[in-house]
Parts: sequence; C-alpha cells; structure tokens
Amino acid sequence: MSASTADHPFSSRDALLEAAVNLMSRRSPSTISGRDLATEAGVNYGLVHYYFESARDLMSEARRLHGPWIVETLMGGGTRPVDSEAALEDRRIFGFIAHVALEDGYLDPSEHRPAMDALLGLVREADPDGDPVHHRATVAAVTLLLLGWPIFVEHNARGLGLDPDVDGEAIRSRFLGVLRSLYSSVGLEVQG
Amino acid sequence: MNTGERTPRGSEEVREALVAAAARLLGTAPPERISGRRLADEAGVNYGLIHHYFGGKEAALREGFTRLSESYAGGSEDGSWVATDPFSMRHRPDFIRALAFASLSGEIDELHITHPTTDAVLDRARRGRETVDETTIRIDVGIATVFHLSRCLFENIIDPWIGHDDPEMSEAVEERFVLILRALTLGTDPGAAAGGRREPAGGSAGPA
Repeated sequence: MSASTADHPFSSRDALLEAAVNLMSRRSPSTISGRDLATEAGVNYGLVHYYFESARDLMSEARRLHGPWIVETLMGGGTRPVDSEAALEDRRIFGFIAHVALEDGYLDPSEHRPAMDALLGLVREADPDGDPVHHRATVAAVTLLLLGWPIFVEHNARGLGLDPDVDGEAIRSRFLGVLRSLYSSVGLEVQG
Repeated sequence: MNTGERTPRGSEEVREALVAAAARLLGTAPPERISGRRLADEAGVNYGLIHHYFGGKEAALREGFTRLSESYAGGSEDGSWVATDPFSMRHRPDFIRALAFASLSGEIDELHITHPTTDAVLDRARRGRETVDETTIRIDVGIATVFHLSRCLFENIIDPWIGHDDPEMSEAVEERFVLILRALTLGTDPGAAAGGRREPAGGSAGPA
C-alpha cells in the first residue's frame, strides 16, 4: 500500500504495512504485537525492527498511509467518491478507523484527512458557487454515515424492534437513499 | 482499582461493585478481552464471587451494559442535558465506546439492550406522519441513530477537520448536523437539511 516503494517489487516492508491494516481492521492497536504483524505478513519477525523502530511505529505508519490509500485505490485517485455499498462491507475502512478512534493517545488530531479533503474537492468542483458550510457539512455527514452504519445499524435495528433478516433490504435501500440525497444536494450523482 | 476505601462486603455491595466495575471496563476494551480476573480486580472483590453472584462474567458484563444504558437515559445529574437532546451521547463517551467495542467484536447481540429513550424518539418521529407505516418510521429513527452515534464516536477525527481552516465553520456545521439529524428522524430530505433548509415534518421529500 506504500506509494514510496512503487518502483520496487512488493517488499517485506509493504507486506508488514498491509498486515498492520488487516489486523487493525479487526483489533485495537494495543492488542497487536510485532510477532502478530510478522506472522500476518508472513515475514521474519526481525524485519519488523529492521524496517521500523517498533510495532507501534509500524502501525503509526500504516495509519498515516491509510488516508492516501483510500484516495488512491478506493476513490480512483480522487476522481470519484468511495463506492457506498463497498464501503459498508469493507472493514479496512470502518474497522480500521474505529479502532484508531477507540485507542487512547493514538490519534493525531492535527493530521490531514486526505479522503475527506478529496471528497470536498469533488463537491467544490460539482457545485462551484455553492455554500461552503453546506459542502463541509455534507462531506462530514456522508463520512459519518459510512463509518457508523456497519458499526451501529444492527444494534439499532434490534433496539427498535426491527429484524435485520426481514427488514435488512428496506433499511439498506432507505440508507442508500439518504446518501444519494446528500450527494445530489451538492451536485454529485452516485450510482447505487 | 477499587475506587472505594474498603473491600465491598455483603451480597448487595459485592454485586454493586461488580456491576459498576463492568460498566467502567466495557468502555476500555471489547467484552471478550475483559477477563473475570480483571473484573474482580477492578471491583476489589474475590474472583470466585463473580461466579457466585452472576454465574459467570458474561452476565456481570451484561448488567454493566444495562447500567451504562440506564444512566445515559437518565441524563446528567445537574440537568445540563437530557438523553433526547441532539447528539446527547457525546456526554457519555464511556457508553459510546462500550457500544462500539461490543459491536466491532461481534458481541453486541449478546449484550442486546433496548434504549430507554427509544419510545420518546419514536413518538416524536410519528408526529405529522400519520400516513407513514410504522416500519418506515422505525427505519428512519434507526438511520438517525446511526448518525447520532457515529457523530459522537468519531468526534475526535471529524471535528478537527471541520474547523481546520476556519473555527467559525465548526459552529455553522454543527447547526447543519442538527438539521440533518432532524431530517433523518422525520424522513425528510437530508440533502436539503445539509443546505440549511428546515422542512416541516411529514414533508413529501423523503430520502428515497
């Protein structure tokens, strides 16, 4: 997932970064050891400390590369929004970001949010004379809905007396309608 | 880590200490990573007492979850917020974290709880929508709740981005968030709400 090694074949360093993304999508960083990362990557444990100062340093690097990776691979280099339906299924998006958010002292609030910046860029392009507050609120709301949906939807549905097995399709289509409404209010048409 | 001065004694005190400890720990880790020993240690009681009073740590954690839910529903002690306020969950990061941990680890169903605020929100959502079927109303409230919870869980990630270039932007976007939450609850057009329009309940411009 690293752009810096684009002219090299897939390296052990890249394998470790990809392993960090996979593990952090499922677990909190504090529960992931250097050995876990080496095993997941299928590389020798010594390489963790050859390429990185520590397991934590490796995971911080994975966190820094996560936003650019979303833009590059899931937003076509910033030319389109993330596919809504794919985003709802992909733990590497919501699982990763949730685990980073839940880990105390792990987040750097001043860090850039490349995926949100990229979506804001698309919105401004589609609606050049629009209201900046509308633009920013829309990007933030879409992001929050895509991240929160996979985490909370089933729990909410059951709490409301709905059965995800019976009403799942209706819930999903209503939800995708909400996303379409937000996107189209700023001139972006998305499929789905 | 027992916050009291002395070891809890008697069945009532021990039970209470364990439920309170469970409620505290659920906001720090997924349920499957909270061991019985950790729970006993946090409560300041003997490990064997978990089994004695609850039959196992799962039941103690479930009661801890119910405790979180009920104390959130009760609002703040000083009356500065109530659970039906927009984005009220931001006042209870411990509960939102517990929900997220349980959900991400796939254990949310075992911890299934009914939010005591649900009925109040549903009542509000039904106003002006007498012709809309109950399932749709519940779906809309569910989607609104996703937005509410997500906004509170990811506050630390989203808020710095919103106000990054312009601190006044934060306040303006917050107002739009409240409008969006309202639109989702009432089934009106969330895009129009993001643009600052406040549509009446029962408006025809649904999101679908």
